[in-house]
Amino acid sequence: MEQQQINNLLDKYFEGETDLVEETKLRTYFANNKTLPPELEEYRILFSYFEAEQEKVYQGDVLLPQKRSYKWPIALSGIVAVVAALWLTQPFADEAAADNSSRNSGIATENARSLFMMMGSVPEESREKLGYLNELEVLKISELSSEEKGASNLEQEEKSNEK
Amino acid sequence: MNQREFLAFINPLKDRIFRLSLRYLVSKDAAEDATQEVIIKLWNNRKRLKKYDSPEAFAITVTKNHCIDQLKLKGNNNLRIVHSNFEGNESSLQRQIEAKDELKMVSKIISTLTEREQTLIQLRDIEQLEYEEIAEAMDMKETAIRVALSRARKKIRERILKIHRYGTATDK
Repeated sequence: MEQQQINNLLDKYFEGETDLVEETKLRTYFANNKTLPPELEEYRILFSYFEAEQEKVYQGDVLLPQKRSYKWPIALSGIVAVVAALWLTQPFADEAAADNSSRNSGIATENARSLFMMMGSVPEESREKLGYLNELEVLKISELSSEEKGASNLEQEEKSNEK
Repeated sequence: MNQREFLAFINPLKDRIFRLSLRYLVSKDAAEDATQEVIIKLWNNRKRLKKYDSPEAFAITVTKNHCIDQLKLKGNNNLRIVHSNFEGNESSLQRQIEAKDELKMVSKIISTLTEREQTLIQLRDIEQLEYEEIAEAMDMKETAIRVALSRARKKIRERILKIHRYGTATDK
């Protein structure tokens, strides 16, 4: 009885006339019936192939390109600037309120100037470090060419002496 | 569509994208690369995704086009090699793993179909998509899909019968 139904469904299937429910019926029939009449054996192979193919899954990652956003760094540096300004001006404002002399404002200018000087030296320091990087390059090159080894070592020493 | 929405959209789809890529490119590595690249393409088009009737169908179209491009790019060479290894596997060792062999046989048979037939089999018989969705993804009419699918299924049946019956006959 059931087999007759399956045969009908198979006919429909090969004409492209089955809907998804009917196709699922076929699939489960062939998955659940291990002993089949020989004329249906070929169909079992086909449907078990479809079944097996469905099991394949993507094992890689889902990596989305991170759009480099400048919003956060800008917001952050803004906050830092505001906090720094408040921190710098607050004590002077208090002092100025308490003692309204021009001496304090002189100190304030002095303080601010020294602060700017300190900040000014930061890029210089980092530039020095970049200089070391250049030396590293020299070192690498000298390692590659053994003939010029002595010469570049000399250069190396000269440079560090300069420092 | 923000990142979280996009991930919610892509997560149930990524296996389908991978399986379709695998159908075209055969090699697992190539299919994984293709999947990642298709995901990025969809991500870059995320603003347009909502405008489609079926973003899922659009994802399939992107996958299909990407894989066909890949095949053209590679000159169809090293990507297809994996398949040709199958031919002439009649050793007794192969008989012992017959179940796996059967699957390989069907896989081999399907790979002899046209690109379009393979895609239709993949989308209908493996992914079990509605004709409506396949029509949108493939830019085909539903009736045309039914006709093509019927032809593809009959081809597979014919070839399974031929190989399977022949195979068991030589065994005796």
